[in-house]
Amino acid sequence: MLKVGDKPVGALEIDSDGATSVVADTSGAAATITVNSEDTLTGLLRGHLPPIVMELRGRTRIAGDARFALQVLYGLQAGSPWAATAESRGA
Amino acid sequence: MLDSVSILDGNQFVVSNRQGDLDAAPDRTHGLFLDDTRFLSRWVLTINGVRPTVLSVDETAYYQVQHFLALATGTTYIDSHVTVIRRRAVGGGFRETLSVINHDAAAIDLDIRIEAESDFADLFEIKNKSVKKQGTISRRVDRDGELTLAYEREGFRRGTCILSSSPAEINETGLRFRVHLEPQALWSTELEVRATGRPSAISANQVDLRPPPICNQTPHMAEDLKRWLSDAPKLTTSWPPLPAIYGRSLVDLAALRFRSGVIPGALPAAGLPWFMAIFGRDSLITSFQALPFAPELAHTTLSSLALLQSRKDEPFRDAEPGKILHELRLGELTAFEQSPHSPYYGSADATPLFLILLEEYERWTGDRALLRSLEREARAAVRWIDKYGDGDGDGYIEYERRNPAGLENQCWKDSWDAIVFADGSMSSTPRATCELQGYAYDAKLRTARLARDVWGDAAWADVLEKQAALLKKRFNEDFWVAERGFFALGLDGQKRKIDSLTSNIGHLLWSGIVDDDKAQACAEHLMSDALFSGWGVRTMAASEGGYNPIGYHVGTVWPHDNSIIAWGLRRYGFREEAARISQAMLEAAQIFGNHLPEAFAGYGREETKFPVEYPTACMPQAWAAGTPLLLLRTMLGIESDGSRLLTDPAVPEAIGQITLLDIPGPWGRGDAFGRARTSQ
Repeated sequence: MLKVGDKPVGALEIDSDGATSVVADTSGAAATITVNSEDTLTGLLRGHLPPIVMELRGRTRIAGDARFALQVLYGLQAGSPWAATAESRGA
Repeated sequence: MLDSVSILDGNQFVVSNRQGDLDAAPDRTHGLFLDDTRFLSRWVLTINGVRPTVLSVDETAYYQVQHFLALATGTTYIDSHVTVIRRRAVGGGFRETLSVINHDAAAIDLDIRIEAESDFADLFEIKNKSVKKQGTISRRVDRDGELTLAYEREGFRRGTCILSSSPAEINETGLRFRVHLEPQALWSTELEVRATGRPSAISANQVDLRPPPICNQTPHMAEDLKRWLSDAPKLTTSWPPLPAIYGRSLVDLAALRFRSGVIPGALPAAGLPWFMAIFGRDSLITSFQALPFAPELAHTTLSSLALLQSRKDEPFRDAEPGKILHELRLGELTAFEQSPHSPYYGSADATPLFLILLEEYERWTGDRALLRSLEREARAAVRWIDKYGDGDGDGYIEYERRNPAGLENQCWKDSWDAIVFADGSMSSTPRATCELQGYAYDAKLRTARLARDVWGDAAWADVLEKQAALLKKRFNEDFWVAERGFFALGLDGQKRKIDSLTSNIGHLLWSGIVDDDKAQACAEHLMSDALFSGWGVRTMAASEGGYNPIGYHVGTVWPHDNSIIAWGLRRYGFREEAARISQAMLEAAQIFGNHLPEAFAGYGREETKFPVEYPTACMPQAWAAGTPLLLLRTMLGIESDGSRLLTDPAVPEAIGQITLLDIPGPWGRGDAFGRARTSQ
């Protein structure tokens, strides 16, 4: 589940083949990643922001299965479906 | 550090003077540390304006200490009627029991003060003797009598909370107790110092810097240590010092267990005080050394390093896809990317070492579930070796930093002057040190075995084996210094052989990359007066232009280096030489108080009756603590073939006999026995 502040914004759904999408249904999420702003959220989803730096600076908070959450965040760094979009916009 | 006292538990530790005071200064690394931040820089006890005199220090366990002090009245002869005892245990901060006893026939009034302060320095700031905070430090006394020291820089918040079980006058500088003590009376208070590690800043207004109270963690830690020791194999021997050395190794490894909270279990942090963090190389080698004794360390190390394996090409962090991290730090400089340790990937050997440990772990545990879960990471590591590790495509791993502030040398000898020619002149980059090629060779052969046996990919296994064979053939041609009869330390940026004689040739024996017809020459060099000091193999031979017996990587003796060399000598059949190194190392350990430091000076044994300390050596240090374990394995010749425990002992005469019971492995628990064959 993804939250900006206290507000849930959706869930990352990851298929067995690694395909990732954001869905509205947040039930059954293995972990919750709470971020301080939309900028942080998009930066993480695009794989641009280093997860550990964000956590140290208090811009993210992980609850639930922290290992899985980190795997997801690092996985997005390897290849995010939103990375190309970001680059084309100069983000 | 020689007059300091340290207690630790993983990545949290307290360094004080012998009185128990924390009195940080540029030349005194005192403090309460957690996650690479100093949470308390001053904690000084005075009684009636005087600092008590130390009588003795009782380091009862790695996580707790007792300071016995007296309130002295004289300067040369201590005539005291007041005993002061400080009992301190680390855990989430620390808990201190302060007791004062009046032995006088008359009642006394005491003004007991504890000054408290925190600079919230990042460990790198302390190491560089330059603490310059960009955030704000605040102090606050709560209504319920709790002193809170806090630091904030944007969302980076840290806090230290201090409270006492006895009524105290508390202000922003510390605590004060006015105590009236009748004759033979005791006064005591419990002091809690709680460190908040990484409080959330998501909702700044709701942040509560106060962590949960520290329960008395000592019973839990004592129980944990007892379990750790009882799970380890049992040693008996005819050499009296060995059980104490073995026991101290296990205790030091217990003390250095680092729990991330993300991966279950613990992995070895590198060493006190500067390296209480995850280091890829150190954690991997220590876990390798400890495999027959504490295989759970390897499980956590492999899982953690796999999780943090780089997925990106980032020059700032010297990161490339598939690379295993060098170092992860959690302090302020990392948080604001003033240092690249989030994690930093400037290590060329951690990636092949990851593959080596992976295979060794499977053989010693039979845990194929972990291996299956890490197949993707293993393949990425091999790709790193072939693609990014070998940037110029010459078939060898070489390194060159891309972050100008990163490490110039990204092999285990990572000081700036470590990789020099025989005449002492500096080599150019990128550098391909020899042991990296040995590790790559070993990693590919081991990965081939896993590909065939665990991952069911025989075709890939064939490719890996062919690559390894070609690497070995080329390496033995390209790195051999024929005129001196040993392998070059490396190839420099101009592909010149870096022709210094160093301990690295022992790592080549460990990896198996050395052609049989060159092994004898390597063994002779390792045992020569130039390399073997009598206490151990020097990092660089005394014959070389760059040699310095007190140079960090250019003449000192490193215990972990020697454990790998000894194992390498055994691998090639040099049993007596391996036994000689093992014995010398264990004798050094005995002199160092039954445990080995990170490194010690390279002076010859004929010059000194004892090994000379290296002044800034870490102790405990993980792979130094692991050294006696790998030496035991070497002397007993214990090996796993995946289902059976094999032994082939070569025990030094001075040690006599060794029995190791309950060695864990796929067989359950097994025993090993070895005794020296005395010469007639």
